[in-house]
Amino acid sequence: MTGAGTAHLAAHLLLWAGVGCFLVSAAALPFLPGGLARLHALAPAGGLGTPLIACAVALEQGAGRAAGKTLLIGLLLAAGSTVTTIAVAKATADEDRHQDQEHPPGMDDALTLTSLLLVVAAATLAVLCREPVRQAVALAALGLALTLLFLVLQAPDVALSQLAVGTALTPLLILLTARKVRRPPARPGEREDRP
Amino acid sequence: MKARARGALLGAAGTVLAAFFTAACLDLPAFGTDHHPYGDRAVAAALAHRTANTVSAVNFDLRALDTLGEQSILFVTVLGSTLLLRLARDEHREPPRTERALPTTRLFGAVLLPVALVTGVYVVAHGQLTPGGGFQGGVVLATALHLAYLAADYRVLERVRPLAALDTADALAALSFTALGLAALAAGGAFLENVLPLGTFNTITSGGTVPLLNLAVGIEVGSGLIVLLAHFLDQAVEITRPGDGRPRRPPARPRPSGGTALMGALPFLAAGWVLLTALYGLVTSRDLIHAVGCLAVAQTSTYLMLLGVGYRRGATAPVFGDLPPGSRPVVDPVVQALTLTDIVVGATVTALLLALTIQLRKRHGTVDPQALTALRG
Repeated sequence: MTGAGTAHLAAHLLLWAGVGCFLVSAAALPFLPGGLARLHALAPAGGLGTPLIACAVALEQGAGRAAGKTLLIGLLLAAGSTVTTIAVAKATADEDRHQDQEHPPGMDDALTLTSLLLVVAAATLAVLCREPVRQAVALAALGLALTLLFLVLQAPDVALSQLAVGTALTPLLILLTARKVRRPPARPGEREDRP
Repeated sequence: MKARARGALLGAAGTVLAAFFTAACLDLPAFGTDHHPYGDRAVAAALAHRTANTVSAVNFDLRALDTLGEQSILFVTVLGSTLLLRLARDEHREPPRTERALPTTRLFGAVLLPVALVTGVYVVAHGQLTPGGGFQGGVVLATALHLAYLAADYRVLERVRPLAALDTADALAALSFTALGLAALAAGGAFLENVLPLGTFNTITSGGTVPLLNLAVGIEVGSGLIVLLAHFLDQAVEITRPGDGRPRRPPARPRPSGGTALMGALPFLAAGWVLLTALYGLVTSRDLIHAVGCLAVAQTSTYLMLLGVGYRRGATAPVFGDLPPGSRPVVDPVVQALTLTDIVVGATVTALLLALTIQLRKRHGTVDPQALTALRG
């Protein structure tokens, strides 16, 4: 058997192994009880299945930059999936432990402080951007930062309102006005445009 | 006034304002305090009227009269912008060109448009149960419709946007808010009193007049904003000639750094910083559009103040859709209702000022406040 044939066969094996991980995980999902146990199904799919499939694709591509890129993507996906699994597990465990147990106040303060700093930075940026189009973008960022802060301050109604108005409506109005105003005024004689 | 003199005046006034503001903030109840007399009474009153979202209860039941005022502001703004942005005698309308959107954009818009519209309707309809309501849902509906412009072109947007019908809907919704208030009078209660049967707690028909007033506001905000955006879009898309402006580079400025303070007063001091920065921008602005943006930034400082005052450490949102009443402390819904209307009124003021800016540009050919002052002679 030639080298290329062996590589092709190995790629197929890796591909099927990866897809197998996903299929087994998917099949196991309905049988596992509770959120934490179901995560055992999620972990092999993301952590093992994705890198296996990435290896298979890289093997098919042959040595080179493309294969390197594929392996890197596979690695990133596997890492991301692991991080997500851990985060979901932590949240599920917290939920299971007790719903209304007091969580450490330091956590809240850190979140409030971070979003507050984001708001202050975005507001300063929005003022210092003298060009209306850039200012519209900065205002949209300010809207997002405020939405985050309002969520942290337990005001979902206000956050929703701010998201719609602050990140969509106000920047849109400013952009439209800037577009209208930026046009040079029609000078008589420059171009005939009256009927 | 010369730029230098103006800067000196701003510096002096800003220093005095900052000093008094800081002193006042340090005397406020600390951020996250447990003492919220208004909030506690508002939550009790909302639960007595079987409204799970206490913020909606404050807006459409306890403070319904204030909301009547706010929705009138919105109505008048739409009216004012319509007058300001009407077709001038020397302008003419160019039919918009057909534009080609990328197939992916088209697909994205086609998939997202129904989802966004359903989300908007859901947010309006469940205003008395879950976070949301007429104001938020209306804005979602109005902006969602403009996905048609992104996904296709302006002519498609014009077809899906029956402006005459929306104008009427806007007026009728504004009228029905007042009519509901008068109906309460006729039923023997006070103006805008919640006289309808209250229903079962945490169902879509609960809350008496709250869902009805909420729906009226939802229709008014939705149709009003579509009409408002239509006038701005007409100005930007149709009533012009193609041409290009000269982009200016914003001057690079060093960013000053903020001081440190106690966590208890920090959100208030942040609000003060935002206000002062925005005032600086307003005073030094050479472009009215930028000035309007700075005014929007200044307005955000009021949101920070209000929500900072209403926050209670360790408390949760004042919505009892998934939360048995009394099981956990909640933050103050009164200030949240105030902030909510603050945001919507702020947006309408921005719209009106931008419409005025467009008028000024048409009349005088400039948006530089100093040049406009010079024009006056």
